Amino acid sequence: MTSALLEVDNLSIGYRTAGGISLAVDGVSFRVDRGGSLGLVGESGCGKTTIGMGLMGLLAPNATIVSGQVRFEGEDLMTASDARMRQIRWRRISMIFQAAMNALNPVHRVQDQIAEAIITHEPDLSGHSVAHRTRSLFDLVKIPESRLQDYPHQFSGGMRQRVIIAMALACNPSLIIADEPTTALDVIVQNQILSAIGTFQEEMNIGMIFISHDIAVVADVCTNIGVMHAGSLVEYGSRQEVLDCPGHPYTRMLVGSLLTLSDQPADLSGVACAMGDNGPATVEGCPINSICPDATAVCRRERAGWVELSTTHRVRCSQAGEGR
Amino acid sequence: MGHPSSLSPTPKNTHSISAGKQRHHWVERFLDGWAVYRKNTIGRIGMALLGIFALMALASFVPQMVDPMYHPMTGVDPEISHSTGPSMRHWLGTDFIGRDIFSQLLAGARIAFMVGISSALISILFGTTIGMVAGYAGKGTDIWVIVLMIALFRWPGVARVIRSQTLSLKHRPFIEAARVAGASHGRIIFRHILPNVMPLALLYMTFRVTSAIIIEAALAFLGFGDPGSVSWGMMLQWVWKTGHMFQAPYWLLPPGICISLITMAFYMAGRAMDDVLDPRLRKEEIKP
Amino acid sequence: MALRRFVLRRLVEIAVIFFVIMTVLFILFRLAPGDPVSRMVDPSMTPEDARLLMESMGLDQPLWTQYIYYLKNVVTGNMGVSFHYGEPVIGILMDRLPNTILLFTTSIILSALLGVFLGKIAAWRRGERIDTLMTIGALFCHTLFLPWLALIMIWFFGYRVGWFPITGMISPEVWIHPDAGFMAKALDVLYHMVLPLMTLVLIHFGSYLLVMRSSMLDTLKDDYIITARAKGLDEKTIRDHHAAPNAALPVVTSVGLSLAFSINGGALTETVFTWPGIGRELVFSVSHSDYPLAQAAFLLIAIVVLVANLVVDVLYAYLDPRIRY
Repeated sequence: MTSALLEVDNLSIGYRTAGGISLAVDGVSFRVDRGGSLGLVGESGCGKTTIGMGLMGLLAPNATIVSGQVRFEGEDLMTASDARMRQIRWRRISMIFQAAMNALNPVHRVQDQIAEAIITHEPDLSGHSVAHRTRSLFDLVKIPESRLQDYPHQFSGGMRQRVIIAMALACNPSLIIADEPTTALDVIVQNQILSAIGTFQEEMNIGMIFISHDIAVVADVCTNIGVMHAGSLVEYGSRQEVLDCPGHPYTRMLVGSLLTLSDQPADLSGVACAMGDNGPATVEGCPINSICPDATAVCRRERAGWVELSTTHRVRCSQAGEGR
Repeated sequence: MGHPSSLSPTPKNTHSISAGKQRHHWVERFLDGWAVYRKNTIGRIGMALLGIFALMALASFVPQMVDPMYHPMTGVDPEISHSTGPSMRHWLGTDFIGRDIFSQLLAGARIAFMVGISSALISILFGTTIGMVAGYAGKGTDIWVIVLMIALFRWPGVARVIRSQTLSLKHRPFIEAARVAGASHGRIIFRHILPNVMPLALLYMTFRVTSAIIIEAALAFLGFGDPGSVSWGMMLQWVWKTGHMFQAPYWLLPPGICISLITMAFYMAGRAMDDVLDPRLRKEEIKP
Repeated sequence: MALRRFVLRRLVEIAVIFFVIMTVLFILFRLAPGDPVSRMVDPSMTPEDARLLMESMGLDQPLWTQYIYYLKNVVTGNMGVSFHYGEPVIGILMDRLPNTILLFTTSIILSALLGVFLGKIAAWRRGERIDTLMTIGALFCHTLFLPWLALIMIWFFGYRVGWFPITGMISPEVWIHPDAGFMAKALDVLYHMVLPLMTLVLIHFGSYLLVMRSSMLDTLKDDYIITARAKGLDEKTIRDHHAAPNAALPVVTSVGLSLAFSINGGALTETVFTWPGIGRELVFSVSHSDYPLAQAAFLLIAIVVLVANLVVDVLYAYLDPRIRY
């Protein structure tokens, strides 16, 4: 078994609101191996991005980590000082942002933005080697070196995404958190970006957490998949296990929504919660009992514990493993 | 005739109402806006300051009734022929020929209000009308109206803003519905467009008033004022030209403070108007 | 290069606007009640001189020809002779122009820098006491009546504590002195510039501060700020290197918009501090009915404002890479 790069144990993150703390992430545990990849899938607002930001220590000022432990390369990130977190950011854990967002600063040349990350973490490097590394990063993501001097607005969406990937790789991190990196791109570009990410991740032996609402995309690049719903992880297992025999009804709906070439249209009913209802559950019982076809009285009464389907596959559903 | 107000963007009165009730709707709109305005602290402070200045302007008629020597322009204290400091007889002292500074200050408030109100009326009346007509009529008339505006020179700012607002309103469904329903142009402009540009016009009015007061004060300070009346700018000019700023702070400070404060008051009052204009800025209690 | 083409286009625009201003001024001077000839010719001239001057300016010709003459005179810089100084006005104004530009540009640059710097801090520490203090202070300075502030400056700094000179631009004894080098002269001008500069900066920095503060608050919500944090940059770099350059762009725009207003303030400041600039000459000429001087001063100020606007536009293009003309 490979060594764990990142271990997240029972992590809960809440937002301070007028009515007390409301949990956006509720008791999530997972691990990422060195060179392994985990896909976090779930609908908007289920807490995926909050987890990513929480790992980086970049939560919004009104958010707070309620409980849990995060160990990265053996180091406890929850107790790390601000200065230590700054050293870890990008050097050890970097992020790939969505290019459709304004992730690149519009008034600086892309070359300078990449170089800035390198210089911040490796201040002893000579200007020449920084420039050299920037050029090779551009080579790696297949952008002509002549465009190093350009500004972000001069790139197309796909190119900008490549720049962002190049930037994420700048300091040879051991973990990359990719937050919806392909969401606003068209399918062809999306494919190119995905295969690029997959290649680097494998070749450079980088651990990755891939956050997406699209289970098809996650299935493409990740060895492990975690399905999130309403702030908690409801299913966790290897890609094969989760896709082939989804144990949780919500996962079944997500997998069912995958477009196939069969005649039968995918059944999308009940996949999403009603708007405004996708936050963490506060009611008693299983959060999805109202839309679950197999819900029983037990489901309405209490939340299910973890059920181990195999050593690597676990599901949080009281019906799992029984009568299926 | 089916009135199209059901498409109008006002949240209230979504039921069809007759022309007679339209005025009622108008008043209600105003009261709604006022209710929002009143909650704004900055707006309240601005309004309170403006109230004080209005009282000063009203009080400016009193001193010369008490004694002719308190007349701001012609009244001279027979016993004083130079600038003196504050006393019971002259609360803020006297100027270089023995005129009462306090009554001059009151008279200055009157001038400031006259300048402010006349510029407000002009900008509101002409600016809004021209802006609405230009925006509503579109292309051909546009150029001539702008030529007219430039020729008359004083309210292009207001007119320009109102024009662009009208242009954006013109294509909203409720205006088109009114047109389809057979409303005349005049009716559309005054019944449907005017209520929607009014808050914006009021906001620009406060800017206009502020700059009019400052310009009047600056011109009076430079000696281009109306020599027949006393304004704050003129008081400052007297302090300056007679070299009294070195020894008579009691004379130098009040008019300057008044000009600065009235500008700030109008600015604050206008700032609070933003709240009425833009509902997103309101700090509303979240309703269950 | 594209920028050069943009500047050329703007120069043509400026020429057109200037032509319109010239024409309006011509019409205003001819439309005003009274005899236009008496406005252009010094009443104290001998009849012979007056006739020569009138001929040189075409005042004996029909209106249309006068207009052509007027345009020609403006273009060739022959704007008549000042009644008061008895010299060609163009020479007088060219003499004053550098003084105005010195005071004007220094004050604008200083107040914009101060506004950007303080607005940046206010936004960064939003809601804290320092933010409240700065916002209120900026609003307060912004609404001060300029000539009054100038008088207060003179009263306090020039009289009560007596730190700075209150009139003029130079001390003659420094300049007459045979050993006076460039440094001594420059320092002398700087010393005289302190009070007018402080007045202008105090009046103008407030609005820039408010613009910068609100723009910075918007910028801090942008995604590239999160990127910068994720990169592990320290907070100061994020504020100064990533947020501030983006937030300062609207300030540049507002500097451009307030140029005309600034020149009004410049004229008042020059007058109160007897700074020998164009603004003071304009006020002086209007109050002394020196029409040739007034007309030329007005036109020159129009040119200064138009060119300053062009400079601001070019600066904006330089600061914002997304704008390429």
